[in-house]
Amino acid sequence: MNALFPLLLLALSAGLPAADALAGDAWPTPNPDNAQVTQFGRYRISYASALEPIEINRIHAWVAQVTDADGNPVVDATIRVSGGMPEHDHGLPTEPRVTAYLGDGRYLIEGMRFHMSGAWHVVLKVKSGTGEDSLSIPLDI
Amino acid sequence: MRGGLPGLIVLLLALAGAGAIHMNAPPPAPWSDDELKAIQSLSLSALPPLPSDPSNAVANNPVAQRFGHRLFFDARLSANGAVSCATCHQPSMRFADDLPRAVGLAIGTFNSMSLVGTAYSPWYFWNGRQDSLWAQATSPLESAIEQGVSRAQAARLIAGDPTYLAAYQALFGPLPPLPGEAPETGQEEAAVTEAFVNIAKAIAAYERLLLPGETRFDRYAASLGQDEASAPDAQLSHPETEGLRLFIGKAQCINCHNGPLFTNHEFHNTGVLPAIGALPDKGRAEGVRLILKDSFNCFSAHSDDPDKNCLELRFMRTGDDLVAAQKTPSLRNLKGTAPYMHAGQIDTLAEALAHYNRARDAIVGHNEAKPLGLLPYELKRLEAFLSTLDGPLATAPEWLAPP
Repeated sequence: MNALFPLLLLALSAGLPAADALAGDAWPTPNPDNAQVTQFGRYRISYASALEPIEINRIHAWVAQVTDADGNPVVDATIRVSGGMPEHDHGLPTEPRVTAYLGDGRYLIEGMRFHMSGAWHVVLKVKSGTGEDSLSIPLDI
Repeated sequence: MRGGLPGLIVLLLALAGAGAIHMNAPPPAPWSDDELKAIQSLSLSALPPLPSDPSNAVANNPVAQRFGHRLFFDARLSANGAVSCATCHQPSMRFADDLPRAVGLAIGTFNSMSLVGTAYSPWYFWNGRQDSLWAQATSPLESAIEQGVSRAQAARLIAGDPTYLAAYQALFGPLPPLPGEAPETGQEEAAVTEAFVNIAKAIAAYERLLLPGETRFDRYAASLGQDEASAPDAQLSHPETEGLRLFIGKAQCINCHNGPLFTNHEFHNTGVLPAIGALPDKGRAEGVRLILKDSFNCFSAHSDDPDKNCLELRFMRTGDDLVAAQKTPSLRNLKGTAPYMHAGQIDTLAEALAHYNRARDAIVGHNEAKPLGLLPYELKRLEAFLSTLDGPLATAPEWLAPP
């Protein structure tokens, strides 16, 4: 129980369910080798989609793994998700958000959906003790 | 140079002949890999199996399908005994009607949407104000301008019809005590609502059977890459294939009318004018407001899903840009479902295409569509292609007529 306490505290402080509560779900694991550096270099973010390849019109989840510039997991990040199709001047058809912290700097993002084929970008705005920064991920769907 | 003139004439005739052949039967330009991918993405063969509906425990139950079939065509489920679900969703009209706006007990506000393939949609009605097929079925029953029955009247119809009562009991257990039946327990209202929801769930089980069948376009898509001679009836005409090329390219139709049902199930403002004499409709902005407070939404206790995952509802987009946005309708069986748009404002396919080609500023909100600059012959080709999307239902004939 004592061993679990810090984890519980962490989960409560983030306002998110602990990873244990989601143990039944097999979320994908991002490959850190594919990490992209945020705009001002504060974070490195890799992501994996639970729907692979990503198809239009299907709601699905992503996992984003966030480390600092030295590769240490960021455990206290607040991540805001936005995006859209620059060519069509519109945003995402849903409002995805982080719903759980999965441990080791990994955050579960639920509610991703793309409703057209073409060039998209997904923007992750990260805020933590390390500072604020963002990453725009280009996608061709 | 004797014989030069006849020689020239022969040559000219030959060239003219070649030209005539070319004009009559131009070889269809080969599709690019991207175009082939787009064509196959629209084909019926890309349609996944019907998703399960965990909110409706009887969604795939054969007893519920037969019960729902009877209820769907039963005009006793109306205040005047003359209106059923089938009044506006007629089997002979692809489960829509041919009116601008639905007519039940009175003239409604919206164009009747076809039910074919509707079970694939996460949202119902033009503004998506309900999020399951069974929840949708409750609304017209209670609406004062559609069928206008109370929940108790619907429950009493079941109680008074031995066939219905047997089906109900087999599916859901005993019918609860109805109001006015002694002794009163104070639970009648909740019990009646439960019975009413069960009736809607049976209707939804029937409606899940209404699925789109193969069209000329689907046969063409399936034949691509095969020898033309092996599928002689799968060919499209030159205007039709060129219309398809526009559909997936320059005309940008596929942006919203995508996937095998030709819809992204999303909401878009395309600057459609209100019906004459009507105020502009608030569209999805109103739908979002209504679904969140709907007592039959995905979070409701009436859902049979123990998990209540409700991904679409939990991550639903909100915001001002949804004003006047309406749901993208399927284009399958388009020819047979005129007039068009959410209030039947546009009579013909040609006028609908002209509307998108012009893409005038919306009078409310922002028109997402941009002017296309298509020429008249291109619009005709698009129309020709859209006529290849008519087909029979992939539904056994016994379901397509009253029981």
